[in-house]
Amino acid sequence: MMRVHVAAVGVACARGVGGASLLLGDAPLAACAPPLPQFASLLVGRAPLADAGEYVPQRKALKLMSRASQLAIAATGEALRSGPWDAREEAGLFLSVGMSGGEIRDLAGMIEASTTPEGELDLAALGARGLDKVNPLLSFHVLNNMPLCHVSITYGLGGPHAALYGEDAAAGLQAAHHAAATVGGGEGPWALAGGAESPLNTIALALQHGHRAPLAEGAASVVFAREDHAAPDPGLVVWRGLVHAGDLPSALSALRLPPRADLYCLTAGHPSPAQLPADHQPLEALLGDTGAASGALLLARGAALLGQPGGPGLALLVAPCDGAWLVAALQREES
Amino acid sequence: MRRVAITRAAALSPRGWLRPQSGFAHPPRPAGAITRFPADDFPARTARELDTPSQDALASLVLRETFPGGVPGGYAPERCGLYLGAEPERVQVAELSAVNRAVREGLPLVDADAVPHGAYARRSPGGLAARMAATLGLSGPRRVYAMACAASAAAAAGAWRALQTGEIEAALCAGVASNVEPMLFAGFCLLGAMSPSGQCRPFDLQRDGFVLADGAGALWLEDEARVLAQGRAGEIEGYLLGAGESMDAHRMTDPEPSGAGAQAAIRAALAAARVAPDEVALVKGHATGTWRNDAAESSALAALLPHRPPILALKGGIGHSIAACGVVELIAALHALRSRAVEGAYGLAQLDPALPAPNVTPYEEGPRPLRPGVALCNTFGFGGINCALVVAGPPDLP
Repeated sequence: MMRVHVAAVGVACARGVGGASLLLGDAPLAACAPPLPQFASLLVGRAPLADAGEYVPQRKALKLMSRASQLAIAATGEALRSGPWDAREEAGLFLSVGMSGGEIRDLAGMIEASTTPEGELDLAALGARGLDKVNPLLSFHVLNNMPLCHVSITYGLGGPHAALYGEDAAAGLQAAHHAAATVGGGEGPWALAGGAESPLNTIALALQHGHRAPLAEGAASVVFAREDHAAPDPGLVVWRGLVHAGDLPSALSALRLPPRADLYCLTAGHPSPAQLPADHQPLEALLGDTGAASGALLLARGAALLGQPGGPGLALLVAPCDGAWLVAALQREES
Repeated sequence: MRRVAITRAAALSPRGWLRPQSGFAHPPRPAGAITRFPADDFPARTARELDTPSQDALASLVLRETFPGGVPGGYAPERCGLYLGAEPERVQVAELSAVNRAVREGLPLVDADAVPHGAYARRSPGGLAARMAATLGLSGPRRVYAMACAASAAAAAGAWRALQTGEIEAALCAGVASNVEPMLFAGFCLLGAMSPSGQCRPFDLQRDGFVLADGAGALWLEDEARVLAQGRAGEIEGYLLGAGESMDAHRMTDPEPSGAGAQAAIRAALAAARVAPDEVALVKGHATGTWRNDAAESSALAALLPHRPPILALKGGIGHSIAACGVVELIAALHALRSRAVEGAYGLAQLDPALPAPNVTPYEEGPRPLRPGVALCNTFGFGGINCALVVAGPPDLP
């Protein structure tokens, strides 16, 4: 396996839409989260992105895109700003995706046409009248693999791919592992690892409130490139692998990494804190609970911290998994 | 390079149980009217339902049938992965109605009691995967591929790669789909993908879409060397030789018409399997019976496989099980390789003359003999995602 570098990062989250530097610092979510008018009593993390119009060749493409797809498009656009990123037809794309949702107003006509005057739901009427009251393009919003397809089409990515489902950071770390293994194994010169989720819509908020808090939307895209595919910049940060572990010493051992003092432990999804160092940094404090996007955002934050001058030498990205942890490692290479 | 053996395989389909040794339990028959909800006024009205109430129930049945004595090989649980192709069970119309009522009446949504707490989480395929892993005692990597029609084929590709790199020593690869429910059905009706005539007709001049179906299948994948070292050669049902994937990067609504994306996936799969195109004796087509998919697929096959191997086109007889179809239909391909015969396409009556001569015949003409070789299994997903797998039959085939 060839070594795989983190060569570019793009994010779209409550802290902004742009590059890795948005994830530096430690100001809490409340400092960057304007209230959502419909749910003023909730602290939610909404990305400052009206839509992804500036990233797509034609605005009409937006009609086919859910909010999560648009966030993924924006994050990927920011990551690919760093260079030409050629050979796109061979480039891989691995995203973590979560539950989809939408605004109930888009479905209200269908639901009301499928309801009897007494207020009872009538599924026969759904076929007879309800379907005529809904925009057919909404189907493209709810299929879970749509963010993957929209990113592929928008940026011309044609290589290996996967849309991994998850509600927490594990799926995003697995997507990164997939991408790194693909590039390291010689399938394509580079690949994107990312994730996107937007639960800030009526349906998702109604169904998920209390399950996760504070709810937040977000997306991240990270370009993994082989060492020999240096353009535009191989970067300083290297992917070191993904393991299951129950504590940091066993994670370091499984990753074949020596213990070191300049180690950051970044978490998402509330892994069991008993074995975590006291100074571990939960992603939720910065961004809220970004669900399926959190693994990719954790990866992006790790890359941001390691890539800054004077940054740490090693970042362990920790997510809960079956009562233990899933741990990914990024290492800074001293130039 | 490791040779990946398939040592357990079974699927539940609308034609009954399917196994590599015996094939489908029943012959195909016309799709029936939907029984789970009143569908008389939908644009499409037929489906191929299984008598199972949920994805959990479907998964339990398939695991029991595939692994009556547990998983073989004696592997450490943490060295066994689970790769599942599945979609979340959709939000119920009644729940949407409750949310709509709360909005209309100005009720605080976040306190609405109409929607059961944790309703999203219960439908998660991640939870399904966790329960499947617990049933079989697997504690290695667990990945859920939510990739529509390509989901379980992509899961097989993921498992194949993980076995190649040594990340795992064995894997459960499964596809589970309980599809026939109102919201998914309505969604596919809106897309115009389902057959208004109620019969999927792969490659036919009158083809008008697919018929939605339930289905589930499971495979146990191991390194052949380990299987042979344990003296279990007789358990080998076939091999997963390689996998290739591509994205059309074309349009959301249609496949790339020349089949260029499909060709890229097929080329990658053949290269990964180290198989020359003329070694392909059988193509398990994706063959949805939709106008554009069949055209793109037959164009891709004509370009890459000029010797025109016969096509196994199954969706006319078992419907389209979406996330499960990759694994279910792969098992049917293993049976075809083992029996050296390929059945015709149920629903096909008159081949579309505009297609580049796909080598497929009507079911009524009976099975055709198959020469020795490997099978190429195509699976293409909505939005332009393509996955091709190369499989071979068991080693004791004459």
